[in-house]
Formats: sequence, structure tokens, C-alpha cells
Amino acid sequence: MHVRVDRACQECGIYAMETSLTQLSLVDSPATEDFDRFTRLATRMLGVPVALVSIVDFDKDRQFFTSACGLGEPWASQRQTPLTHSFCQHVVAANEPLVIEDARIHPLVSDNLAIRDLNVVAYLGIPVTAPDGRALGALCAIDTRRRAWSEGDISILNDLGGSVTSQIGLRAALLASESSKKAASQFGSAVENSHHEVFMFEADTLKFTTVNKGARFNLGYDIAELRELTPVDIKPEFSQLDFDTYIERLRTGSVPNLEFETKHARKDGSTYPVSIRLELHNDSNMFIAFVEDITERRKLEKALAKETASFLSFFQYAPEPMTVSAMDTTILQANPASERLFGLSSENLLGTQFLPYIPEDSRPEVQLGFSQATPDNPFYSVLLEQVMNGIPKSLIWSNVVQFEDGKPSRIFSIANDVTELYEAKTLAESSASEAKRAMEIRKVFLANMSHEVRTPLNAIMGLFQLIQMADVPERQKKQAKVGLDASHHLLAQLVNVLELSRVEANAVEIEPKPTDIRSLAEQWFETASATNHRLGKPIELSLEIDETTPQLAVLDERRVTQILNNLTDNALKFTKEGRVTIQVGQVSNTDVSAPQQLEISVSDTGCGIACNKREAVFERFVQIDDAQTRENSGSGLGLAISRELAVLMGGALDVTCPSPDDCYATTFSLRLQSFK
Amino acid sequence: MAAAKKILLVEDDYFTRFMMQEIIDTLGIDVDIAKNGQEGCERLDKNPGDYGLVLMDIHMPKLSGVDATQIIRQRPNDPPRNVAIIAVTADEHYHDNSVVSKHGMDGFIAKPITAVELNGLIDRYCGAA
Repeated sequence: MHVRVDRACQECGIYAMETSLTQLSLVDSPATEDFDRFTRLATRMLGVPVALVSIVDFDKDRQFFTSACGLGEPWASQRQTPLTHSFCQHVVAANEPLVIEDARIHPLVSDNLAIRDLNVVAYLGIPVTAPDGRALGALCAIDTRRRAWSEGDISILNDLGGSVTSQIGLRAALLASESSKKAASQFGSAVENSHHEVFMFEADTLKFTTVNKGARFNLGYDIAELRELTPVDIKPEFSQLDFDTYIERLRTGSVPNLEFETKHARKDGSTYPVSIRLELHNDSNMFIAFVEDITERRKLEKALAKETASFLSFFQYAPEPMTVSAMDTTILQANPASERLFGLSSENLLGTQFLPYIPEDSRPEVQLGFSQATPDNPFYSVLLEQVMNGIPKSLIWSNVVQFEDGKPSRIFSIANDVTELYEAKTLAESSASEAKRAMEIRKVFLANMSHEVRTPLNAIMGLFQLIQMADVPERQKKQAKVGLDASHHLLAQLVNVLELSRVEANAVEIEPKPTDIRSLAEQWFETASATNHRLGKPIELSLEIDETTPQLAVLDERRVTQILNNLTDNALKFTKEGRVTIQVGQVSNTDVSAPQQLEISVSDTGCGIACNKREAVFERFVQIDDAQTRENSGSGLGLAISRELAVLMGGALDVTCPSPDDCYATTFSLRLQSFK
Repeated sequence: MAAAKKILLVEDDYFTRFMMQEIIDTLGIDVDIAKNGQEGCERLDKNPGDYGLVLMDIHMPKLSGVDATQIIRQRPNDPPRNVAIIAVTADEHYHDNSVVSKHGMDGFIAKPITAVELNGLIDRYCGAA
């Protein structure tokens, strides 16, 4: 147990020892007279057959014989044994001499295999140590028979062990000095080749002693020239007195070093900005100066300053309020536009928290917005209704959260005042809804108007009819008839004006239903016949229904009838004699995929319409021929309404040019997409 | 030969009432007048068997022609439950047989009315059979 604890301690230093063992050529290196002379001396002086310098290498579970005198084969050639054969490990573990008279009965080593294999009986081991006192191995004397070691034996081996230890110390010192020399030379070369300027100059005379390549290159002097110069010679901004005064603090030791920026003058007289770190080395009584050419840095600083200045002027003069705030919304910087927005001078605004200016119910949302900003997505914008300086405003705040070391640190904010925009929007919305309301009112008004005007007209017309029915003189009957006709005209006018208004007010609803086309056409014909009969002109009225016309069509019966009655009324009104024909058919379409269309035409042999006036008939209050106007009463609204209705039903109403061999003068055609 | 039945004219507009009454008179039929739906219902309830035809204005104060018709159609007795009711109105919405029949009426004549139309109705509903 005692041994194991010690071994564990040794293991802590295994790597360091291993390195140093190899470096010190104590293991795995050829035998050397440095150590062999001691083992030889030991065998001779102690009169033993074998003496060893054994280095205990716990890491590799072995002891290595750095030197062996009198050892038998195969051990002499192998130069090592496993630790199972090691007495020396006990010397190392205890870092004490080990004296064994008879190994076979010694409790520490009685089962050691070296007794059998190396024929070890008596053993005397003295620790050999590294310069730091660590035991590395042992110088040991071995006898093949029992031996009581005398004080003299131990003393001799102790001295020899000390010599081995000294030898190791010598080697270590040599190694250390070599490696430090090497490092110093590497460092020196790095300094020599550095782009920085490195100067050494004497503390008393200030003359340069050593100047690196970087400095020589930058300044344009060779080393011989520089040795005649002092730092003052290459620092145009310093006089001798200035420099002496400046470095006095280093001389007195009140500061360990000085860092400053100045200019260096080249041999050709040109200068460049430099940053200098100056130290005084008291040991060598030398100043060392490390100098960096900061021309590039200065350029960057200048550019940065320019950019900063232009950004600052942007910040100052931008009409948009801009602020920089801490994460708790304390305003740290604010531009004049912000001062105007908040109505606070800059000294009152800075240090103020932004949060109280946010409406209370929006605060959680804003705080959440800021807390959700990430370095990848640091933007957060929000529209706030705020009362600023007593004025209600709609402001869009665009914010960028700045992160430092992954933590949010600042909020940059720009406000966009959209108050007027929002007012305009609200106004537009309210006027849109007002217009909608006005439209509703108009619809109701038109419905009422129709009713309110018809009711008294009803009484007037009824009474005129009554007079006609009564037993009164013929002249009065004629008067009643004119009154009745005038009333009819008034009614027609009213109906048309109201109808057109309703179409324009979108108050007309189209209700398409499957409708029997043929019976509907018969109705149109009946109505036209009645009118024809009433007018009493020599007109032959006919109805032609194409055989291909389907039985049912989906259409708004009432509206289509309204259009057809209008067309037949017009045809009969403007025809003196001849024919009026209603034709119903399907539009012949070569494109099969196109939706099928129903075409209803009314043709007449009336006065006709000049080609250039065809479209004018659909305008309001138009009758083409003024002379006819007197003869043919009408509001001039019928066709306008009919076309509006046709369009409303997704169809078209056109007046077509009859072909030259066609006997008709005018044909109006209504086309409807009505087949299902 | 039963005597010709009477017409009940339910109409709130004075001019129309006067004119209609004159025409119906001229056509030789007796006419009773009600100024609104409420009065109309009362008249009918009082003498349910007297009337061959009700000429019903639609838009009237107190009780509209539509509501009055509904009440009449729900009366337990016939008459008056199945009396002929014709809408007489200037409202274009009711110038549609399918609309008026949905409201329980037998037909409509549009204002302005014509004596010819009225005569046709009288022949049909009030004629002495």
C-alpha cells in the first residue's frame, strides 16, 4: 500500500519526467562514459559483481539501465527489465537509500523476480535525482550472495550517486541553456523581420544601438547611419528638450512604459504617423521602442470620421425623429426632430423613458417586440397612436436592436409620422361608407318616388277616363282624352327616368329563372299586337321562332320583356307601313366551346337610322329626327334603359346594319348568354 | 238571379278613393270604402257575404294590404276567408302575379288603373250570376 501511494504521486509527473528523461538522454540512448565510469568505480570500490545506473520509467513499466557494469546476458544487451525485476523502483518511490542484506528474506523484495532471474541477493541502492530533487532512478550495487553492507559501502555509493545526480544536473543545465538560446535566436529573428519598427537606444546618449529591418525599411536608413542618430532625429515633432522631459518619467521609474503617437521622418524628409511604446530596461540600461506605422489606421480613422460626420448631419437634419435608447427605453440620443416630436429640449429628453409615451394597452406588445429581436432579425416596427406634446399622432416606429456580445444593448428608432395618411384613410373609409349609405337612400327614395307620384297620377287618369265614360258632349270627351294622353306621357316619362336612375343606382336586381322561351315570345307578340292595334297603322306584325331555339332559357323574364316591349313599341312607333318582325333564335357560333347565346331581334320597315347615328340612339333623351319627335312622343330613355339592362344581364343590345338586299330598315338585336 | 255583389275598396289615398268610387259607381256596382287594412277587416267581418271583390291597396297606415289579406285568409269562416282580393298598387314589386299570390291575393292591377281593367274584374267577381 505504501508503495502504491508513492507510485500514484509519481504518475502525476510522468509526462514531464518522460520528456525530460528522453531529452536528458537517460533512457533509450547509447551507453556513455559519463555514467559508466561511476558504475565501474562502484564495482571496484565495493567489490561487487554488478553495479547499475537504473532509471525507473513507471510509464513504460520498466527500469532502464543507463549504465550497467558486470550485468549478465540477456539483460546487458536489453539494457532494461520490467518493474517486476526492479529493486530500484523502491529507492525511487521512497527517494531514500535502500539497503538489503538478503533479498530472499526481505519483506519488500522477497518475491521480486530479479532474485531468481538476475541472481540478486544483496542490494544497495542510492537515489539519483533530477535538478528539482525528484528521484529518477538509482545507482545500485548488487551481490549474488548475502552481504551485510558496511557504513563505508553506503558512504562510497552515496558519493558516487551524488556524482551521477550532478552529471544529470549538468545535462539539464546544458539542455536549458541550449533551448533558451534557440528560442532567443528565433525571437530575435522574428523581431528582426517584423513589419513593426523595433529600436534599442542607449539610456544616456539616446543613440540607437539595434534597429530592426522593419524600421530600417520604413525610415530608409541603413544600420550604420542609424547608429549615429537618436530618436529625436527621426521625430520632427520633438525637440531634444521635449523628448528628454517626456522620457524622464521612465528614467525615474514613475511609469513602467510610455505609449504615444507622433510622426517619424524618413531619410528623404517625408513623414508618417506612428504609434510608439517605449520601455526602459534597467538591466541593460537601454530603451526599447516598439513602433507601428499607423498610416493605414489614420486613413481609416479619417474615412470613419467623415462617415460619422455625414451620418451625424443626417441624424441632425433628418425630418424624421430618430432616437437611440437603452433596452429599458431610456433615451440616450435624440435628434432635433425627436425634440420637436416630444416637445422637449434635448437636455430634458435625454434620460427620459420612452415607454410612458406608448399607450398603455400597446406596451406589452412593444416590449414583446423588442424582446423577440435577435442578432439575425433585429428589426421591429410598430404603428402607435400616441399623444405627443398634446397632439394625437399615428407614428410608425421602425426599430433596430443592436447586440453586443450576443446581448441586446441599444435600440435605434426612426419614427414615420403617418397621422395625415391615417386621417386621409379614415376619411376615405368614412366617405366610402357614406357613399354607400347615400346609394341606399337613393334606392329607397326612388322606390318611394315611383309610388308617391303614381298614386295621384292614378287618380287623375282615372278621373279623365271617368269623364270619357260619362254622358258628356263629344268636345269634353276629346278634352278628357288629351288629358289622359298627357297623363300617359307623364307616366311613361316618370317610369323611364326612375328606371334609369334605378339601373344607375344598382337598385335593379336581376333574377334569372328557367323560362319557356316560346310562350314568352308569344306574350311579347300579344303586347305588340295590342299596341299595333291601338296605333291602327297598316303594319304586318309577325313572330319568327327558329327551330333550333331550345325550349327553356335561364333569364330574367321581367327585364327581358321590358326590353322587348320597348323595342316593339319603338318599331311600331317609327314605322308608317310595312312589317315589324320579332325573331327569336340561337346565335350561330363556329366556336363550340363558346357559351351559347340567345338572340332576339326586332326589325322594322320604318324610317331607318343613318349609319353614323346608330350609336346615338342609345344615348339619353335622344330622338334622331326632330321632326319625328313631335309626331312620336317618347322620353328618349327607353333604349338607354334597355341597353343598361342588357349589359346588367351580361348581354348586349345593338342596332345592326341590315344588308342591302334586306328589306328591313332597322334591326335591334338583344343577345343574352342565357342557355343552361 | 242573385243581386250583384258589392266591392270593398280599401284605400288610404283620398284622390284615389274618390276616383275609384266614381268609376265603380259609373260601372253600376255598389262600393263600400275602408280607409286602411284595419277598417277593411272590420267591414268584411261585419257583412262577410256582401262582397264579391276586395280592391286592396298595399301601402296603408295602421294595417297594410298584405297584413290585412293575411288576417282575412286566416278567418275561420268563409266568407270572408276566400273572398277575392286584388292588389291595387303603384309599387312595382307587387306587379307580379307570383308575388301577390304568395301573399294570398288573387291578382293585381297596377296604378294608374284603367277603367277597362276594373270592368274586367267586376265582370269576373261581382257579376250577377
